[in-house]
Amino acid sequence: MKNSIIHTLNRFDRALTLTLEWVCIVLFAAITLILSLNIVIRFVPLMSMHWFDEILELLYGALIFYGAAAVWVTHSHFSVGDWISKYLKSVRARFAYRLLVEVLSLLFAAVFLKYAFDITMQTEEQTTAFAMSKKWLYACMPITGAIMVLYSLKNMYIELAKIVNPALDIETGREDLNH
Amino acid sequence: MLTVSIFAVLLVLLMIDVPIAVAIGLTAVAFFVGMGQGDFLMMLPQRMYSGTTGFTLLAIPFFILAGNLMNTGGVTKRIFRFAGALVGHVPGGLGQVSVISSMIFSGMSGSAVADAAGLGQIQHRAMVDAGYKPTISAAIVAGASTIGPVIPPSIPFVLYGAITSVSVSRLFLAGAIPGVLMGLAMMIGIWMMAGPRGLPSSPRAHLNEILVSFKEAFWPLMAPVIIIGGITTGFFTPTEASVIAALYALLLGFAYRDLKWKDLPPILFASLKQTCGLMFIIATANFFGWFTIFERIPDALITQLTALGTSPVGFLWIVIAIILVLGCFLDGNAIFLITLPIFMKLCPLYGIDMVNFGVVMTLLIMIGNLTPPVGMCLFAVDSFAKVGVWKLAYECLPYLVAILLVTILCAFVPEISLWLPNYMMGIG
Repeated sequence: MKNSIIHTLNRFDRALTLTLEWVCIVLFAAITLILSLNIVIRFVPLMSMHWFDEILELLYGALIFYGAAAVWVTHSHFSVGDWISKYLKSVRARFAYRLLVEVLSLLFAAVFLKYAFDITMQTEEQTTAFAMSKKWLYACMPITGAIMVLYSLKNMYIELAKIVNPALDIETGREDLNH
Repeated sequence: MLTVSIFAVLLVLLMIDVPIAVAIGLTAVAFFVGMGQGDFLMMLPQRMYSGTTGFTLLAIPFFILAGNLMNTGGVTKRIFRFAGALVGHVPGGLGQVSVISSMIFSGMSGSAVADAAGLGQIQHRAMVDAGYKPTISAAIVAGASTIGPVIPPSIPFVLYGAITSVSVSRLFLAGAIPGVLMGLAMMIGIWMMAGPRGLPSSPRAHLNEILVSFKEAFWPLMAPVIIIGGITTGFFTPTEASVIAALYALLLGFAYRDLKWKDLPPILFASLKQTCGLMFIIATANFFGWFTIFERIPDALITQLTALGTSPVGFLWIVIAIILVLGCFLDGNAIFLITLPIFMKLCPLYGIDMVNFGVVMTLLIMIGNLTPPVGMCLFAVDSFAKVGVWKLAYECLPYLVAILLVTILCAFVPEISLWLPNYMMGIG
């Protein structure tokens, strides 16, 4: 039963990562297209690009935050690297140390989610070119924050489970971006 | 005292392996809450958003992508062969070839880690096959890779320009001569070590081989001309130049038939992952920078330095010492983001040119890329050379000294870096 839950969760992880990857690729392709168009339009003035900055801000903001969420899901944000675990003799102590790092990450993700949600809901500002609500620009932040909180909770659960039973074999999908 | 506490907390969080972005953001959050100023946390998402969506910073993903595409698309092999034909016969043969090929590749890619991970693998394999000790070869590769972000285009310059509002085009031009000096200093180092350490060299290439390899490498060699030429003539901005660089690399990859459509999604996403990892650090560091200014930390430092009667020369030595120490523990971009909001207020006070300061800072963080325990180029090279990070760092010492000498020279003789931008773009 427990295995099937973990199996389902891992499938969900892969689906979410794949979705975020493709969202990022599409956003990046759109940015490339607009920037290239801007160079062409400078020499062949076919149309007005007054909306250029606004759309780029929207796309780039979304790319960065959804990309950061994808990197968070695969547990691969840049860090100094774990050099402490090898000095901890007890296996439980190692997982407790990892749990501490996860708690700190969760703390930040939770603060980010709360204030990102607040700013998104409360903003009354509009963009200049399309008079679009800035809620659309900021929406990527609470979504990213929510994904981060969810995955920090998941990682904490895994570390806690390993403190209770160090022999437990749970796939974490961890990947190292540093080296 | 507050400054020391803030940086102590940040360092502790970093050293216990909290992700860099989280450590930076959490430090500012903790101090705001601890000092009863929790209301200002509402600025967290605002500063994170505004700090990352600037037009200049858009260049970062494209320069990362250009480097990755050139590594996959066969461009690196052609550059390496051409450099081999040019300087393979000089004492320290393939070591010299590695430095020259890194200098050429620097004109297309803006990231030291991309240079080390891509071109570096070809350089290392060739040197080991020719009889170089793996540690010596790995050290040459790691040292040469740091030239990448100094010779334009350069990701650190883009970042520096975005933080300090200094012209990225001027910074790109200012990096050219120090970058070439770095390369020359390393080549002299290899030449001096060639005899005592038995570094083999190849026979002098025939003119025919030079011409054939030049013909093969011609279009890749045109990349820096297009990028830098386009920026200085005003055809496009540095951000647009990054798009041109990526599209050009894509075109070359397909033209050489070394790149296939199916290769694109993994290359794209690998580049985007690197970008987003870096940009998230930039996002939280923007909040941290705002926090330091809000708490008047730069003002406190100015007061202290003035009270000590620090001269401009003394200030530069303090900067060099701080960045060298931080470089051992932090990624270069993070160092920029944490220290620049403070330094950019101090530099005008001492009459230090911000363009030259950008070059000096970039050279200093390149030294940081080669110093353990956290040296990104050491990690990148050790991932394929497998010689051990500490052994590699020890072997890199001559190159560290070479970069440090160039850094000190540029810090105290600003004309070295400023001559080219002033000549091409007028005195700024």
